[in-house]
Order: sequence, then structure tokens, then C-alpha cells
Amino acid sequence: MFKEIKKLSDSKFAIMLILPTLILLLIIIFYPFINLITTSLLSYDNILVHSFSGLKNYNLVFSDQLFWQDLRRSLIYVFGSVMIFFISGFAVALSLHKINRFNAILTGISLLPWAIPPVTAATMWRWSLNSQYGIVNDILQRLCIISEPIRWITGGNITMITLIFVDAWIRIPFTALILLAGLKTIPQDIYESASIDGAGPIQKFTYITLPNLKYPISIVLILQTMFAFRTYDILAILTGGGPGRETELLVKYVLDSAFKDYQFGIASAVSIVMIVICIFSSLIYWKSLKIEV
Amino acid sequence: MIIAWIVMFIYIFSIFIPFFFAFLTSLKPINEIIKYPVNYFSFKTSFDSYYQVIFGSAYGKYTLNTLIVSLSVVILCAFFGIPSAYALARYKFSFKKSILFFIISIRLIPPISLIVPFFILIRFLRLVDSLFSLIMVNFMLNLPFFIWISWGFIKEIPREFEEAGLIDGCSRLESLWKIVIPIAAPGLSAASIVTFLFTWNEYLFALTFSQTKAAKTVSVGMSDFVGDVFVRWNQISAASMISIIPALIFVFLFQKYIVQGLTAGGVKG
Repeated sequence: MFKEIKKLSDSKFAIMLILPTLILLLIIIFYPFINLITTSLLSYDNILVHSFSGLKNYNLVFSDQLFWQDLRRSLIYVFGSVMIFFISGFAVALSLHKINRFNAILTGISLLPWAIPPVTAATMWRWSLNSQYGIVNDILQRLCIISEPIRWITGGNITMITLIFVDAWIRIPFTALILLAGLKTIPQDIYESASIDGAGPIQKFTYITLPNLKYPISIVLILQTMFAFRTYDILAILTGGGPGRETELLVKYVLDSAFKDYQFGIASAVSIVMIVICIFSSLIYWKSLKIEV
Repeated sequence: MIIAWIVMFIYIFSIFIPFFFAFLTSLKPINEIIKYPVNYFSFKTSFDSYYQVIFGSAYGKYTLNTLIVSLSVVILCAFFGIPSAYALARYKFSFKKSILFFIISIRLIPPISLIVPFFILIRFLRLVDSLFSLIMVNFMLNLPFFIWISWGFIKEIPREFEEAGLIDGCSRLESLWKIVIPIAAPGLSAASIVTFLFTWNEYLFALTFSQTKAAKTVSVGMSDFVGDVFVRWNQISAASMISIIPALIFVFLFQKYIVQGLTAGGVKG
């Protein structure tokens, strides 16, 4: 067999190496897509009995008030999280770039929110923000910033804000890391010659830093936006969608219709809507990146 | 400079708070937890919660499950991913660009939309509640990412090393095994570590595909704890501490690789 491999031309050899992977990847793309589309056309009476129903599921979904509410909340969630993690991540990246001491340990600690399981992150925050016994209220009360404990997770409107903050907290490390890598590629002498020309720190930032970071900024924004859009772990642990439906998002809509109501048809229809939204964003991704192969 | 330190201080403080509080809680007996204002120092430390979590619940088994799944995924990814990355980095063949495009675009599909089709498939194959199904799903989810990172690193190796090997009579497979893999080892470790962490941290598929302790992972175990009627926060905190061990090890020992892998890949958060 090895003799035969030796005889292959280079391109055939390469295809031999990549073929198993390619077949696997094709399966994971085409099977789910075909299955999603066919399932989205089925109406489930229960987990085992279903019948063909055409586009009825899409009709049901699009006329469902809850679907639109969840979609709206998902968009608010993503937008809020992006705003927070982008600004904070940028600030952290600039700071790490400036600080020349303890770099390894600072980067290490900064990475932790990304490296630990999101479920654990959400669990630790849920406990820290506990309204009766949590450390956050305790510190704020000891510092006399608040007089009454705040109900971060059960308090109505504030819950969504809490959820957004925890989501952003998890995304800051990756944001900071990519931006930091970008910052390191900007040659220092551009800044120096700008200083000689009399540019202040804000001018340097807008005319040198931002334009040079176009590529990492677009990576971070587009990828993280899509990751925030699909996140389920944080929501599931931190609030479970409550109080009421205050923090129900589109991901939960999919999971609940599939595994609570056993409406696989409806879950598939919403999944397809989500994929369409993601494909749309990936197209922007490819347009703006122009990755060289 | 001062602003930089202030920003870092606030950020590190926001990281410190939940870790510190969970660690503190994990050392407390249950009656100390429900004291307010919080008792920071004057309590009897005990490791009971850790003992209870590891030996008194199924969490030890969950940890083992997660370890098996994560290691298997890394091995599978390396076995399939390295040759593919090598082929993409070194040889010219038709559809190469499309294949690379295809590989990177897979990462962009939201896993949540794969849940229903994969669940239907796994139920059909009677593999619900098995580690095997978790390994396969995580393998397929992480393979494109693994290839993408490895491709980036192998591409950077000068061709002269292999050409020298080929002249010495190495076959192409030997040159991959004896020359390319050792030189690309740091990059391949980066890919492996990140893959390991992603699998260890994965929740969605582990939740929907597992039902009993045969296939539950640490993340699922943790969410079970939180959902319990009697929320024992000291045990949950101990479980949290156990679940972050791989992250701590990798972040502080192999930080350079993780940073390289993430910035080279730039493909997943």
C-alpha cells in the first residue's frame, strides 16, 4: 500500500490526505440542512407521530407574538453585549499594550472568563449577584453605595441588563486578545513621527490606531456578534428566561419548542430563520475580510 | 499609563469577585453561607463540600466523562485535522480555495440549529445518552477550527526543511510525520488546547444528548445543581472550582500557545 502512495502525484496525495475530513464535513453540513428543511415541513402530534404540513410551521412561527418578542430581545441582548464588550475589550487591549510589567500574569487572569466553562461563569455570577447573600450587594452596601439590596436576577427590567453584562464579561478576553495582537503590528515610529507633528493622544487614536485595526475590529465585531446571538448557556443558568419572560431569547424558543413541546417542526423552522440571519452576517464577514489563501 | 492601570485594575477586580466568592463559599459549611453581611474570614474552613461533590454525588463521574470526551475529541481532531491542514498548506489541487472557504464557513453555523437534526439522528441510531454521541458531535464541531489553526502554522514553516528530507529519501508521509509535525508542534498544541477547552466547556449538546450520569458532563452536572430544590451553594461552588481546573492549568502554563492559537485562528470566541 505504501508503494502505491509513493507513486501518487502531489495533488492526488493531497486529496488522499484531505478526503476523509472532507467527507465528514460534507456530512455534517448536508445532513442537518436537508433534515432541517424536511423537518420544518412536518407537523408533530407528539414526539413520534408526525405528518406533512407544508409551510404551516413557518406560518405559525411568524404569526406567533412570542417569536417576535424573543427575536426583539435577542437583538437587544446582542447589541447591548457588543457595545459593552467592544468598548471594555478595547480599553483592556490598550491597557495591556501600554503596561510592560507582569504581562504574563495579567494576560493569564484576563483570559480566565473566556477559558472557564460559560456555565461555571454564569453560576458564579448568579451566586455573587444573589440578592440575599451575594457578595456584590454586600460590597456595595459596605461602601454605602446602595442602602437596599438590589435584586439583580429577579428584579424585572434589571435582569436583562445583568444578563447582558455577564455575556459581555465572557467576551471581553477574546476581544482584547485579537485587538492586542492587532495593536502589536502597528509600527511604533508612526506614533513618534505623529508626536513630532504635534498630534495629541485622541488624534493619534483616531488617525493611526483605528485605521490600522480595521481588520481585527471587523473580525471581533462580526464573530462575537454571531456568538452572542447563539449563546444559550449563560441565559439558561443565570436567569432561565425569567422573571416571567423578561429574558427569553430566540435560542430558548428553539430549545423549548423542541424539547418541552416536542414540536420539532417549529424548532426546525426557527433554526432555519437563525441560519439565514447567520449566513447574512457571514457574507459581510467574507466581504470585509478578504482572507488570502 | 495611570489610566491603563486603572482599567486593568477594574477589569481584574471584576474577574476576581466571582472567583473569590465562589472559592470562599466552597470552603464554608452551609449555615455560614446564609449569613448576611457576608462573613469573609472568621469561619471554620472545611473541605466537606469538595468531598461531598466528588464522592457523595455523581459529579466525579461527570468529570471523568468530560475528560474522556475532551481527550477523544482532541485525538480525533489531530488524526483527521493534521493531514488535512498539511495538504491545504503544502499542495496545489483543484477546489483548494473552495475547500478552505467551506471549512471556515462551517464555524459560522449556529450549533443551536444543528440540535434538532442531530438529536433526530442520534435517537434513530439509539445513541442518546452515550459518550460516543458527544465525542462525535464535538469532534465535528471543532474539526474545522482545528484545521484552520494548524493550517496557519504549517503554512509558515519554510519548505526547505521538507525538501531536505525528501532528498534524503523520506516519503511524503514520513516527512509529514518526522519533519512537519515536530516543527509545527507549538501551533498544533495551541490547536489541541483550544479544542480541549471548547469541548470541556460545551453545554448545549451535552445537555440535550444526555439523560443519566452515563453521559452527563461537568457543565450539565452544574446546571442540575443550580436547578435543584435545595440549592446548596457551597457544593455548587466546589463543583465550579473543579470545573475550572483545566482552564487554570492551560491559561497559566500554556498561555503563549492559547494566545497564538486564538489570534492565528480568530475564528471562535
